[in-house]
Amino acid sequence: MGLFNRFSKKKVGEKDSMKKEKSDIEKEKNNAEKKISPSKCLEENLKCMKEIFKDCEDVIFRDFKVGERQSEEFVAIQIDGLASKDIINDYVLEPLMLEVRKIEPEDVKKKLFKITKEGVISTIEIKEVYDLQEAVVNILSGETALLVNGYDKILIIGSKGPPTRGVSQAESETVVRGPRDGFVEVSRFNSALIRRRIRDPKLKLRNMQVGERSKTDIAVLYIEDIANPHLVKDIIRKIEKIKIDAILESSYIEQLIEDNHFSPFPQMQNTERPDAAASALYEGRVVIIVDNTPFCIIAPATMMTFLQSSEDFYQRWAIVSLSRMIRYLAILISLLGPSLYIAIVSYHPGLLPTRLALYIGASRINVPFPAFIEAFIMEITIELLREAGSRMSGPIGTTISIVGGLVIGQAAVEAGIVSPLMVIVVAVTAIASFMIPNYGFASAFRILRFVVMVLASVLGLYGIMLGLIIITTHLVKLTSFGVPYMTPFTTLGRTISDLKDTVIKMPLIVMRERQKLTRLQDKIRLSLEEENGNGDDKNVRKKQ
Amino acid sequence: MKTQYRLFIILCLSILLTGCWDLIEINQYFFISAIGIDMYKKEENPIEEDEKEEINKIAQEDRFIITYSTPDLRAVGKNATSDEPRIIMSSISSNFYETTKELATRTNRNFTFTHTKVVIIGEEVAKNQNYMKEIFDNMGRHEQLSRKTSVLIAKGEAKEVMKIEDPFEPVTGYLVNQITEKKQGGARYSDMVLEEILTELYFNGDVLMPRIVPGKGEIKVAGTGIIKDFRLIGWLGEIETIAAMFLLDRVNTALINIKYLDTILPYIITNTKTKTHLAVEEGKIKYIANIDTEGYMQQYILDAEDKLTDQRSITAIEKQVKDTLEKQIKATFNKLQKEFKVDALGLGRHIRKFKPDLWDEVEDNWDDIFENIEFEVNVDARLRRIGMTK
Amino acid sequence: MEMIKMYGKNNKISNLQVAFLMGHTIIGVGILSLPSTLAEVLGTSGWVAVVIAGAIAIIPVTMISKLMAMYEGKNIFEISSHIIGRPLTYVALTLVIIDALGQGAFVTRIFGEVIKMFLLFSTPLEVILLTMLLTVVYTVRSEVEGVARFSMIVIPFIVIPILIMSTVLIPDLDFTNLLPIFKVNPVQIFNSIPSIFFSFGGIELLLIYMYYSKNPKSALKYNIGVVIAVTVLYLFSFFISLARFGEKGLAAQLWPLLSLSKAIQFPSAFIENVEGIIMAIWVIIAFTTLMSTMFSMTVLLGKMCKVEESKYFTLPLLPLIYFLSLIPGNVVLIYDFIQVFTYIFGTFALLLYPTVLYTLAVLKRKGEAKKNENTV
Repeated sequence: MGLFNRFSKKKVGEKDSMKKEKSDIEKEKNNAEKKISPSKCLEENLKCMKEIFKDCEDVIFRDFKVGERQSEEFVAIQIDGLASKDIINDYVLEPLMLEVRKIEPEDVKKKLFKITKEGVISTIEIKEVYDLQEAVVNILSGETALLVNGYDKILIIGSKGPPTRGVSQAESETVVRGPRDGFVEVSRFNSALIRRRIRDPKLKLRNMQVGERSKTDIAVLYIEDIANPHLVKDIIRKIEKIKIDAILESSYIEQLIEDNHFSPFPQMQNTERPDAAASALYEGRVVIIVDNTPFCIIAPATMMTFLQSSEDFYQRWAIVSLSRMIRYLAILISLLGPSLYIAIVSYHPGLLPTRLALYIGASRINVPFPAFIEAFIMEITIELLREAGSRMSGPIGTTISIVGGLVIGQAAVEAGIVSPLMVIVVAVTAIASFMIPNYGFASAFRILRFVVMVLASVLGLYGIMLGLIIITTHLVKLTSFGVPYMTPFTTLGRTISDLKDTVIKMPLIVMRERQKLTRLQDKIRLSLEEENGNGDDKNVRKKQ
Repeated sequence: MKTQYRLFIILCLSILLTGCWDLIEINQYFFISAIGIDMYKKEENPIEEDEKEEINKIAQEDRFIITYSTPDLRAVGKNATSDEPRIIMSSISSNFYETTKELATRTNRNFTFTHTKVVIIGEEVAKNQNYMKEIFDNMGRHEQLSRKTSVLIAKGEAKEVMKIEDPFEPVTGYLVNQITEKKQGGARYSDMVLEEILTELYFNGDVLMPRIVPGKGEIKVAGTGIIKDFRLIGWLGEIETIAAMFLLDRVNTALINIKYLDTILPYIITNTKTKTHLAVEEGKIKYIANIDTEGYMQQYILDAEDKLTDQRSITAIEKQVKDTLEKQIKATFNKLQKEFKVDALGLGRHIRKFKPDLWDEVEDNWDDIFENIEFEVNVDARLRRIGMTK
Repeated sequence: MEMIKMYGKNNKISNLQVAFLMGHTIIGVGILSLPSTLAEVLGTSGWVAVVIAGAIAIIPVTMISKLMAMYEGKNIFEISSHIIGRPLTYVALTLVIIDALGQGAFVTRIFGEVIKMFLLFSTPLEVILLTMLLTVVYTVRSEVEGVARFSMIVIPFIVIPILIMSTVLIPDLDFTNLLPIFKVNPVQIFNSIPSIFFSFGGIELLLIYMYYSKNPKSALKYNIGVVIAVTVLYLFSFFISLARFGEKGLAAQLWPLLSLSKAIQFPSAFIENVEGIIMAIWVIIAFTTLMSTMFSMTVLLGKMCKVEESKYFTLPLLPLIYFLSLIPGNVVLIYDFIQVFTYIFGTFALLLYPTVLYTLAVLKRKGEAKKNENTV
């Protein structure tokens, strides 16, 4: 039974190089204890700082003297461009240099630090640190460090003023009706945009810094009494385990904490719109805001969430239901369009109506290639056009795509290399793939389209069915933080009320319960007050 | 170990790359639209002697001339490069599979029967019981042939029919198909398709099949062939066919010419419903057909004495319709019963369905008993509309 | 709080999924040829046999459901060892595995034959079989949750097209062909029940699925509901085929439902041949049946070899099913082959084994209750 011993162990856990083991966490704790303590002597501290920031010529060192007799030495350190000079000038340097003169020198001498921190500097954000490394990190985040002679503590003054663009419309998700503000690259502004929409102290925000060298600010938001606490704990734990040198965009986080790394399907949603993020929070999901990118992550995600757009809640139910049904159709077309053409034309002409079969046959008489080569050629051409169009921004890109598509398609048909029906099929497929609201999700189908095309080329309709079965199996196995990807279709018993928002979207009045996909705590979202005949509100307590 | 399993699976998948066995492009096909089956008489069409020697020694005997009609793809669509819209091919063989293979030596395309609309059986072949049995078994067993194909019997040779090229729809199969599927065609032909014919044949081998007649430059689908025990024993003319269709309750619209006021007037029947009753009276089976019809007057006499708006005229006309129709139906049934002695109207099946105990008794001598069935038909004709003028 | 505890992978599926899994297994095996067998043996009164067989089928379903509910949380191996001892359990479960193997091989072969006839004429049968089996292996390796979710999600794709096509078919049907309905010959019906009963084969796999149910005690109504639904489906297909072909015609068909698909024509003749859609649905139906049988075999082997991860057994089963399905030399022999199989192994697994287990379990419970009474 030696062969089976291997099978009887529990499942082997993953050993990711990007994730920290227990031993690593301990090592880090030990490292953290080797801090650099600042000395009481300003000169030494300054020398240390200058050593650390050697060759960083955008670091400003401002030394100034404070006190009536100009006896105390202070040094302010900040990074040019990252920190706001106005704050330091108006609220730190000016008070220190001018106002402190008004205080008794004796008091000043003894309690200089205390006075400085509590009485003089009139900024709202201020803290003490006892470690030079930490001070360095703060400086690099845009804060200003204040070194005081004679103290081994460093004051960190909040003065972040990074270069940023103003709040403008989210370019990747536009709506006809709905708010037009979109996230920016500063995580604090983003969380503010969300706070505006959820004025509830139960909206909790956890700050974390991820990335050895980038120390990117990550904020995890959730509404405490709606979201499932296990989910929140799980997400926070996974983020804390990330060990990577830099987080440049939220997709790094996404790729490092997802359940299935090799699946073509995205398991977390990303959005540029604050209202989408707020609506997700209300559903009991968790939002992760990453600094330096306007795209925030929403976890967990199911297939339904990828097929919804923010506008779905702002328009009336009939038109939204129609859009939803067309989106489902678009998925099918985007996945199966060319494959169906190949299967029917090459393998099963008996499935077409007679007239259509004759017509297609007639149009393909002089085409030199068999159907699947035709399909591959056209598909690859479309992919090239698409990539070219997205490289070039603005009008050039659009022009290339349109002109390229039209001209090449027309020329190919005229030259007799492809049949006109093939061009139509490929064009409709491409348009259908643009209908899917989420780009990542649509890309998954772009890739799978080729797989199904290969299967169709070899085994016809049977191959397409096999491909569909394999894709369905994969989708059905997929989970996003434990939530099955295909909820609510596969878990009818528990989540049947979720069906109100899938293919057909019921009017808001009907959707009283929150989506159950994450096993929430607070289930009722909408309650109506009913009036009885007298016009009294039943739910209002009568005055005694 | 996991990698090894994966490799194994990948190796298995590589067999997919060894070939696309069924890949035949759509433009490679001949979509056979009509099949014609004729008797092959050696004496009339002799083949080269030495070729025949070889075939006779090892092959089976040839029995049929089978003709295929198929549209030419080059003539379809906007950029038609050919004027000839259809191709006719025929070959001598013993069944139509052999024809396919034989023709494969002469054509560069594959044949497919998935779009076959029509099978035309020549008169001579239809008279042969064994051949008919084989042909119908084949049509039922064949996986490509749709069960909605029309099967017709040609008066004369099927090849003659298929040679005719109608200017509107040169492809024979589509032409016949469209003729039979037209919506208001009148009931001069039976619109039974393969499915229904097979059902009847499975029961007892008697059925009515539509007849197709080649004319000069045109094809006519009218009349019926009477099949008893899988072979053709006679024809029903066009009027008789209408009567038979009434009995089978398959009439959509029909035209009856009635004698009224010393002239012949056309009366169009728009709705009809036939109820069949079988009763046993005094040891004899009585077959009663109650036909309710509605119709309208297509043509009258200008400035006649008896106006059409007069209720008495209407009643008189209705009576005329009733009499004419009853006479025609009675005559047709008589012909079927006494002259041909064939239960082509499905009476036996009817008994089996509705009076199973009676069927148990009569099943064995059904043929004799059928001859002696009493027949009664009651037509109820209602004139509903009279057109645009009074 | 209990709901939140079961967050994440937990190997339990809902009762509805269990019932659907069982339903999928039953349907693949019998639905193609059942109407024809009925018409051949019994004529228009074949529906009586279906109803009776369905009613009989409820008995093993009830027994199995109750048995598994009694031993909540234990799998069939443990239950059976407890009741009849370990060596006998090994023997019994091996017989069940062979029964599942036979059914799987049968479905595979029939599936291959149908695909070869209608869709891919020249493709070698082996390729069709292998590709299908490999896909099944892929799905079965995802353990019970994947299998159960898959069976849930394909249901609308099977049911809705069938409903639509039946609706289109109705004008063409001649319901008088169903007469005489009540002309019933009891002796004939009685003799034909065994062969009809094999169309309900697959129920015994409930022994394996019920272990995964979250709430076995309330599973009974779902299981019975599915058996009734399957009976209704068989009746429905029988009546429709009969109405279309007539009694003798139906008896002459090998696969009446597929011949039906050749007779459907949408009115405006847009989709002339719906046999493509029927073929697609047939692929799914056969696939779910295969998935179900292979899954149960895998699980049984795993439990018998005391192994945690039974999904490694899936791939070795593939050559077994493959070669077994290639044994019958021609289409006609396939049906003879399955008859033999079901008479021996099917009766055992479906009727004998559950009955024995259930009766012994009930007796044991009663005995223990009496003992407790006495000690108290």
